[in-house]
Amino acid sequence: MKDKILEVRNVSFSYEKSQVLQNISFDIFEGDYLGVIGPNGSGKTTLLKLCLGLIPLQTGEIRLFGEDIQKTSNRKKLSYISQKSNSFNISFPATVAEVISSSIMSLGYDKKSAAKMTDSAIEKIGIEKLKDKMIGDLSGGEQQKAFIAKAIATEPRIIFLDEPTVGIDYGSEQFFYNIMHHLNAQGVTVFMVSHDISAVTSYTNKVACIGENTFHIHLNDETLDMQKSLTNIYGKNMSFIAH
Amino acid sequence: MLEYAFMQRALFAGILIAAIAPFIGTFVVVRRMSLIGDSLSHVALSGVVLAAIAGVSPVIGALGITLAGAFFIFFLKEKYRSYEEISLAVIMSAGIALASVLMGLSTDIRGNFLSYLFGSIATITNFDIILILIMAAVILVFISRNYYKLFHMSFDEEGAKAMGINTEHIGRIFIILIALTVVISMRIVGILLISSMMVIPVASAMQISGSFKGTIITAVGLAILSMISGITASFYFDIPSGGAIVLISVIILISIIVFKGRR
Repeated sequence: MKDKILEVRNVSFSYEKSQVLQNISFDIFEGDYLGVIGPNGSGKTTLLKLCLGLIPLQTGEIRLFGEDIQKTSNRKKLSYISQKSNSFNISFPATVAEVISSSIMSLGYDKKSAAKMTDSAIEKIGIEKLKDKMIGDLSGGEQQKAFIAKAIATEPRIIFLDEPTVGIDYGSEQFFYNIMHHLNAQGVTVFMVSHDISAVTSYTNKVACIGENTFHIHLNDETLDMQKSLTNIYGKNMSFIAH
Repeated sequence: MLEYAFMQRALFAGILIAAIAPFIGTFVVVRRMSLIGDSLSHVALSGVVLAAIAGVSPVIGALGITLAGAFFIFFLKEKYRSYEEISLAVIMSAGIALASVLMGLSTDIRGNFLSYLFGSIATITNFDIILILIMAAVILVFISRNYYKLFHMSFDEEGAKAMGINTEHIGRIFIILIALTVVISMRIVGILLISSMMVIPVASAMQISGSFKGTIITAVGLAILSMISGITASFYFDIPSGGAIVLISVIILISIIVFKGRR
């Protein structure tokens, strides 16, 4: 039996008078690669931020590694790559190595361990040449690689991704999905929110379709059921092409 | 000039400020909070006037009112989450308005008014030095202990919060430390020019440094250079110290930009 990483129970959420999530429940187990898709305003990012404890719950319960998300001491076991332009300060005056090692040290690791973890993450992503470059001087794709290195440096058991490939070119996008696939094959759980239906249906093993008052999770091979859900949430007859 | 006790005090306090203002200022700049220094310095002005009326040290008056201003910013930021700059505009206006009303009630402050606005090397007392030392120690200890957390949340606030860093708590203490920096810098640099000491040396350092730590070290070095040159110029030419220090900082910044452009 695989470990339960995330439990979401009866979660509803509304912004003032607008209800975005209604009574959602699901579990994520170790090794799952969950893709969440849905139209704008369906509550994808809200769900992700609730699961990360970035916004407080209104109703229901979310447990990460068996502990209440607001009180958990297990946050070092997760990583989060947000939409680049929304969260990262991409003109930050620091080198790639500084960004990674300082972020690790902010979690309580000592300098020696942080240096070792930084070198290992940089090597895994293959960005040794970028190590001493300022993060603001890198291209969008190179910055994305640096963010991935930062995210995997602490060897997380679950990685949360919010529209991770927005604004990067096709090659960088493929590189990103290959890395995530490789990590997932090693047992890392992935929770990804995306607009890209074909990427989600191609790379993940579970797909959550979220729409107005609807939420369904399908295994990746339940093609017909998934198409019904997509048609339901987008209001159009949907088909998808695998990558 | 070093044979004069007031000059020894001015240089000692000046070098201390030059070490601290760009240190905290680097985080102020990367967190895009430069306007907070300006807002709180305007509040400090009303504290100085209030202290004159109450007959206490201007540093104590400015400290009390500026900290109250910092807490008022927290309160307003909660009310206007999507429009945080509203809180700064309100605080800045409120600070100047309160200072002008209080000045109408007191004649004691008017003679020294310019020295508070633009800085003066002759006004620092031993008591001020002790207060400045205590506040500088508080700032240095906090920033040093929370350096990596501040770094992480400055680069990726949501990511830092998701990984367990109490970003709200650290963010609030950081604003209180900006208030303390404003108060300790007030005497030498002047209320209207304080935030420039947190920003201009950092802006210069960002042009020439190849790392974050390098930016901090270079900014502190440039600030000390500007501070010593400005205080010396103030002594020999009898000009306001704050104006001299900030003008030298600006000349250094322009020189770096021009020199870098030619290479």
